[in-house]
Amino acid sequence: MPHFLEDFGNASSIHEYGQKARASIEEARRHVARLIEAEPKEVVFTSGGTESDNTAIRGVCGFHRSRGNHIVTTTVEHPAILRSCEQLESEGFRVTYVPVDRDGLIQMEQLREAVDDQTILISVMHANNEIGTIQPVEEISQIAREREIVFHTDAVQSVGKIPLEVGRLGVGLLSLSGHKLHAPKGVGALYVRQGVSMDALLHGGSHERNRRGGTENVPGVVGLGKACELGQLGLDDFDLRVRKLRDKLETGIIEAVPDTIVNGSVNSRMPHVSNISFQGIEGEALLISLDLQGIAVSTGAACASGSLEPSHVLRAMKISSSRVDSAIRFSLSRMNSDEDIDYALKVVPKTVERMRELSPLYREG
Amino acid sequence: MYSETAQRLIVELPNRGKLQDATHTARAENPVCGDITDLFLKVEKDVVVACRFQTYGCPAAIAASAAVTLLCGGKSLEACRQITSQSILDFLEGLPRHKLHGADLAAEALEKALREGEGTRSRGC
Repeated sequence: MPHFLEDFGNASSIHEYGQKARASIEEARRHVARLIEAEPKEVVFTSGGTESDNTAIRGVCGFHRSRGNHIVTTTVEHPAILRSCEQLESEGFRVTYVPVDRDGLIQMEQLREAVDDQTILISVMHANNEIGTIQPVEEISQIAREREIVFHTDAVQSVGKIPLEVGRLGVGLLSLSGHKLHAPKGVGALYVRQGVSMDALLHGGSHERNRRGGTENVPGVVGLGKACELGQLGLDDFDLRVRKLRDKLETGIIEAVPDTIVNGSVNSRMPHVSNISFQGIEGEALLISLDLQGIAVSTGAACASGSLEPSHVLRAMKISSSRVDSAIRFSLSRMNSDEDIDYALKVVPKTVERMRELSPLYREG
Repeated sequence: MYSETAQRLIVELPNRGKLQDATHTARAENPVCGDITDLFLKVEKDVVVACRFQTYGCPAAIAASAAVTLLCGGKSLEACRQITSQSILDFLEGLPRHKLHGADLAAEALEKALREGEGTRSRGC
């Protein structure tokens, strides 16, 4: 941990300590840029996905306010996007929330129709955090390009897990978060394509080329750089091995447990996510029961799990409320093993069976 | 966090399922969160000789309902009438602050089941 102890300089300082820290930050920037096929100077370090999303939304809307006041996004975005948009609505902006189909895929025709002469920003997530559905970002960027609208994508769930090139995606802005690819929590980045104009969210010194004031979190940034370097080396392995583990888990559960259904698109989906509804059981009860047996799963979004609100993503897909309430999400990583899946396949069916015996709402067959 | 007692009940789910020869049954529902508890008692000579439950809902509602079945078993009807939300919480060594309503649901199911037995025979759920 040299950046907590020996190389603790402020990267803005001219002395040797500071310059060592600066060199570490720029090396990290190169690793982040390489992972998403960007130029290093297009990478702005932030405190995480939420700040990246807030910077993208508020930064573009603030700068382009004189051109228009309309934002197009979707009903299944992360709360960092949805709450930012709601805040802007209270400040006089118009926001169109494009719906998704029953697989969680954006309805492209409605997105096309939503764009108007006042639209200054389109923000559509690359992969959904709850169901893993991958949106047709390249197709959306085509629309944005034709209308000369800035296009932002929240790629927090996909960076480091599947190959991703910002040039091919055609986005102007892209959010990523450190802890989603095994970097420390509290660090992230925003890709800002050269030529995209926007305001800063945090005003202060001239850090990050005047795009984000504040002394850099050197240890976090170095951790993010290393995670991106390792993530790039392991991209092929992630897609092959983690997908295989996820499929084994999902198939095993569906074969062993009746009345289960997978939520989200099966064809356009991240390789590490499986969101499954178990008819007749309340998701949170199953979550706690599995947790007590050493299996960590989620209901809805992890950030929102303290609330009683059902998943806004699953509700947006217009599936039945019983299916929404009985859904849990298994998220795998490169750290998972075949033995983990075997254990889950031993525990999950028995737990579901026991909880269905308990449920006054479950009738088999 | 759930206490060790609550955790054990959530995983083991003792006394789960219907009681076919129940003499007292009742359903309690929480209209806010949608939790449902069915309670089944078999009473002989004013003593609860068997008690089972079914719950659809959060872990707190499940633990509290299981707790009620353990608190009632072998007790006289009069002793069962003394069981309150607080007795359930005490048995469970507390519940998470935002989950206290689980104990209210279980207490309501018990209170209704006992009241039902005072009139006609059980009508079922």
